[in-house]
Amino acid sequence: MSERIEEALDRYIDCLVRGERPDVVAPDDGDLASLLGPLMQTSALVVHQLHSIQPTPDFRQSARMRTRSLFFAKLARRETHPGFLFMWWQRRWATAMATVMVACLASLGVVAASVNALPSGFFYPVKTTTEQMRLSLTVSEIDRAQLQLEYTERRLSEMTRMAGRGDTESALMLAAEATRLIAQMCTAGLFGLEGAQADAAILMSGSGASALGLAPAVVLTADRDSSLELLHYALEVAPEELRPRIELLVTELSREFDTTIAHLEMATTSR
Amino acid sequence: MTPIEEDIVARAARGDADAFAQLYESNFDRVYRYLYVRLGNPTEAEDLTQEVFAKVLEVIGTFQWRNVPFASWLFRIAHNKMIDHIRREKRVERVDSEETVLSLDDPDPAEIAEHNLQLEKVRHNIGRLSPAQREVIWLRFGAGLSTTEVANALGKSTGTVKALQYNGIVALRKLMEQAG
Repeated sequence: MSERIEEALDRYIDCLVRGERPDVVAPDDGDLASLLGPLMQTSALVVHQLHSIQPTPDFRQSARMRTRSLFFAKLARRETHPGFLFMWWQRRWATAMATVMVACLASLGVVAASVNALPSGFFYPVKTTTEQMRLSLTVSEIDRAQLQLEYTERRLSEMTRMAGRGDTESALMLAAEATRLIAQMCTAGLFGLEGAQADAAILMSGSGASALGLAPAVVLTADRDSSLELLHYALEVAPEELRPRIELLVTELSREFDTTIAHLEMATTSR
Repeated sequence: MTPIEEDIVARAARGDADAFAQLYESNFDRVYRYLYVRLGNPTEAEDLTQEVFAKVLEVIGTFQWRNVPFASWLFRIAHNKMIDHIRREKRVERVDSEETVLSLDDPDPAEIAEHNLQLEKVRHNIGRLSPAQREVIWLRFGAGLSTTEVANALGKSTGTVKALQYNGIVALRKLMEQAG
């Protein structure tokens, strides 16, 4: 009897906590039902009272942001330390492949044609591959930083253009990529910011952001703030010849993000 | 643990944002609720909820299968965080809360006050149960875990959990009747 009553009560509570209709577990046995009735009533009251406790919307939002930050920070830290041998091999391999590719593509004039390509365009992969190749082949740290700044400007401009076309997902990806480039620059020996890539790469991936249900404007605002924070750090430690370019990027970055956010908000309002 | 859940946890451990988001979204409210009912303070519950998910992120790669449900593992972390917090604060677990912030659809202050009063009565009475009964009730009713998940979280058999749950509800009913 006691096992039956425990079992019946457990099934009833299961239904309650899952938010299902609990009458499906009402026992046929009259004695059991009379014993269970008051206990079911108490259980229902407890579930009703405790389940009314909900996190506030503000807390929910800020906790999502923080967890998302931590998640991507962890991911970036893992990607930043793949091991010396792997990095050496990867870099050699990438350089060789890129050299072959660019020689082929340059002879066809594709590289020049890809300069203004957007992520939705056919030649966009050529553009990004060429950029990667140039970065791989650049030995001087100052030159590498110059390239990273140049590519960041490109990503920002592409981000605004894609947002202008209403392509939120691409705009978020480009914002993340711009931030990643800045972080990559800051973690190089020239700037020596430890863990900067990790902190900034939290902003990567529009899919991660959407997965946590954050509004695009919230994600972009966080991307912008973190990117600016990194650039301000870079300004403090950058060699003299890089400073004007970084200062210019600070201004451009704020403007491009503001324009992008405005585009996306306008698109949301008009829907 | 179902194969689907196992797959989600494995993907989250490998850095899949969507998988982690799924785990986060399906557990966030109940972790908060569990900590709130245990501590009786929304601010502390908020802080600890964030700490719990930070810890999950840190150690999700070490999660061992062996048929232990993810929720059991998660609530062990939540429980340990809460115990650490209580020790750190050098205080006893609160039975009465000073402040109750509830997101209710109806903003009528009188109804909210009445609801808060009822909630506090329930919390207070659960706090008077035996430690084992109390823990089962918090996890089962507050966090919404299944009997199997509670059993795994507490290292007890499902039969013991069902018995503790039954006796806990019987005792709770008596306490509530006495309180009127």
